Amino acid sequence: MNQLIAYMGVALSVALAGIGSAIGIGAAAQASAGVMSVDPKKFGKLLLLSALPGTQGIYGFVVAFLLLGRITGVELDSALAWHAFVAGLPIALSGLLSGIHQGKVCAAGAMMTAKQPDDSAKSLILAVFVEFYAILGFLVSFLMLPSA
Amino acid sequence: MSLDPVSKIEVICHSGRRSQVLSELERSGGFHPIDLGDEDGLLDAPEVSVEGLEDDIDVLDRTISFLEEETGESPGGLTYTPRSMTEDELELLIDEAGLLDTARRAWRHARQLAELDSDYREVRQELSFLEDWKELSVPLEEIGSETESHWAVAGTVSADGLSEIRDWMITEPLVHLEELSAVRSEHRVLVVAHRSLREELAEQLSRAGFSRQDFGDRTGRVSDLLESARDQLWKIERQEDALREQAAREAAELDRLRSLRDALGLLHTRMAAAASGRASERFILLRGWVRSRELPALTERLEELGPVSVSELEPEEDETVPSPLTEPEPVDPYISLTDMFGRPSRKDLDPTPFLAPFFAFFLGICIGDGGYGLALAAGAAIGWRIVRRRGGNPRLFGVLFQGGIASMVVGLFLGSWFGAPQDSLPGFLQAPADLLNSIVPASQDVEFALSKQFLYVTLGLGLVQLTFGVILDMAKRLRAGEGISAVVDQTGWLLAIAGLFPWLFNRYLLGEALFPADSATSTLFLYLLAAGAVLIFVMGGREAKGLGGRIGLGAYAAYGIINLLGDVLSYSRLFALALSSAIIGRVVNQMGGMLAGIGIPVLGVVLAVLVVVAGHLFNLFMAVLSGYIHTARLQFVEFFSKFFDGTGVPFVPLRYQPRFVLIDHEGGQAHSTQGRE
Repeated sequence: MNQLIAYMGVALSVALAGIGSAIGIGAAAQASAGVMSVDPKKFGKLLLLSALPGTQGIYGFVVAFLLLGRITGVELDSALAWHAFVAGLPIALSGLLSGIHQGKVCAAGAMMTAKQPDDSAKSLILAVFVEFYAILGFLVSFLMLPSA
Repeated sequence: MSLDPVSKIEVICHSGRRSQVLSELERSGGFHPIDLGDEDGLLDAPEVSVEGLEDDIDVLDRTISFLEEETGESPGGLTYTPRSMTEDELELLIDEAGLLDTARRAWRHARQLAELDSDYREVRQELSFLEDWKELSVPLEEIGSETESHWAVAGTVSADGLSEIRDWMITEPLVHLEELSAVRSEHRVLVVAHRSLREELAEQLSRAGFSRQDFGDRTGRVSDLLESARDQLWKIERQEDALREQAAREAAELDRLRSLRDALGLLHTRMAAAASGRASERFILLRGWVRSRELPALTERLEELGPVSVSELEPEEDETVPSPLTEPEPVDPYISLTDMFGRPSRKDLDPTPFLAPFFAFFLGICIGDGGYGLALAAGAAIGWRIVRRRGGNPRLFGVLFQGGIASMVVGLFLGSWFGAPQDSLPGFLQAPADLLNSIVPASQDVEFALSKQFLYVTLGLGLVQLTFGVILDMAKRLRAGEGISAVVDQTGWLLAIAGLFPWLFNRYLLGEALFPADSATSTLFLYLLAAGAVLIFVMGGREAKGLGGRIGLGAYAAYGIINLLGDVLSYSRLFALALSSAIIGRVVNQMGGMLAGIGIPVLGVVLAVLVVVAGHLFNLFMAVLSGYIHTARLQFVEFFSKFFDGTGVPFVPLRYQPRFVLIDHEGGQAHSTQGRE
């Protein structure tokens, strides 16, 4: 049972943050595809906007990897199992929501790129404002990791 | 270095010299024209029309796109180098009447092809419709119309509806049903009935869910219409083939058409500049800005052309003066970042030299791997060479190159090279990391790159940059003549920083490792913070009216200390990005190791190599993308907000940026944005 609880922390951190990224990339890529249907030459700029919401999934994966390193091959008592579970939650939840919302900002950025191609870098900057909260979740998950 | 002093000048010459003067100004690449518009007291607006030229450029742009699409030949590829042409060679192309005619002819063919394409799609659609009804042998004009004896109707019905109609027909011998074709459960049928049964039949068909087919104004048999449509398609295809053959012949001139496009573009730029000035029958007048240090040389070159007057004017009081930037070569690439935020106004400090070292170093931390840094620096150097060879702007590659170098240095001290375990590295690569670990012992027996100490170092770096921003603001305000108030105000902030952060770091991050919480040192830092807060409070409220206003504004200014704390915490992203790229690099290596060890000879190793190469490339891409954007945000939001407004106007010199050729000015300024604007 303790193992199950600890592994749920691992699974949630990678799955929820990954879902956030998937939805975010989906939204950004759909908008980018619409813009490219009119102007395929904007692919380079739109690729960056579409890739940006992918980082939440990476943070979730990194936390999952670090968590696995701390719980694999270790005798897990109830406290340690819950510790591992809760450590995965900050990046899981912040990754889920910030991924979705960053995708929306990137989709709007794709529209902006369609009309003002020279200002596409500004839309990237706006998008990282949302990502910062996933970074905070990632840092707190990292700081909460059980001792090795 | 940095924000160049500018002079406002007025150029007057005989209208016969207009072309030469404009050429010289454009060639110099250092004249920012002022649009004189309807300014009173000057000469008339010049009679310069660029509309015809714009139409020709438009035709050329469309023609070039069309011919490139037809031939699949577009300028690109790593080895592509644009042709170098002199101004004289370009002018000869303009005079060559036949070339523009070729472009117009090709564009006419492009439009004809587009029309034929549209016709082709329409006929294909008609053909597809007729194919569905090819079993129908009755002339279409008879379908849906009533004759003296009968009424015929065609349409589609489901399998169930068809059975219903058949059941009803058993009692109605004067009705005939012919099943034409069926696709899945949908049947196409022709129903013919005696005219006396029309209403009854219509009711029955409606009950059976029969959907009547409208054949519009088509007449004749379907088989004849099919033949005619196929014939039309064949003719369209032949016409298209003929046009494509002509386009292929016209594409032989594609290279010269591209050169003509740039020749007309150059002419258009110069004529548009002439339109921004004023003119009389004999003279033309132009006004603009030049860098003060370039004025003597420009004046000399213009006066060599003949009787040309160049005089320096005093800028008007409320006039917007542009902000040209000139940076030393290592700093020049960062102008693109400053421009992304906004140009410094004439009262601002140029932030570019100050952001450059921080940006490169922070980008290096975000990537955090020496191997990635090496790959990035190599890739950026190649990109820089290619873009420069084509006369483009290679500033982005300059930034990436320096970021790559910084990442190599960071990777050296973190002991991170392509995610390989530190103890597997050669001794000379381990030594700097071991040195760092011995100076800053990592907690929990983990290496520095994965330790909380690394996080604290990134926060410390943020503190350094923010403090630097406060000092720059003091310098800016002193330069603006604010004197003692600038010093006192910013001293408040410096005291707050000097008091708050050492106390905070020691107490909450370092577990009182530097000094005990109840020691005199701790009290000293708190006194510094209090003194800083009082100064900020007093200086922040000094301009408000009334005691309440002063207290309110002062308290709001003091609240900025909390924002400062948030700004410092924002630099934690550097650690987060470095950590994630380091971990992903290790995971990629582990996956490669697993594949190599699965026991399949050769294939296992090949798969392992593929996974490792693709994985590291992906990780490098994400690390550079995230690192670049997050580092830019730290400069714009945290650093710039301390001292920089960015409300200046860019210096936009009269200069044509060629699309297809490199213009050789024979000793003049090269047409490239490299190192200059």
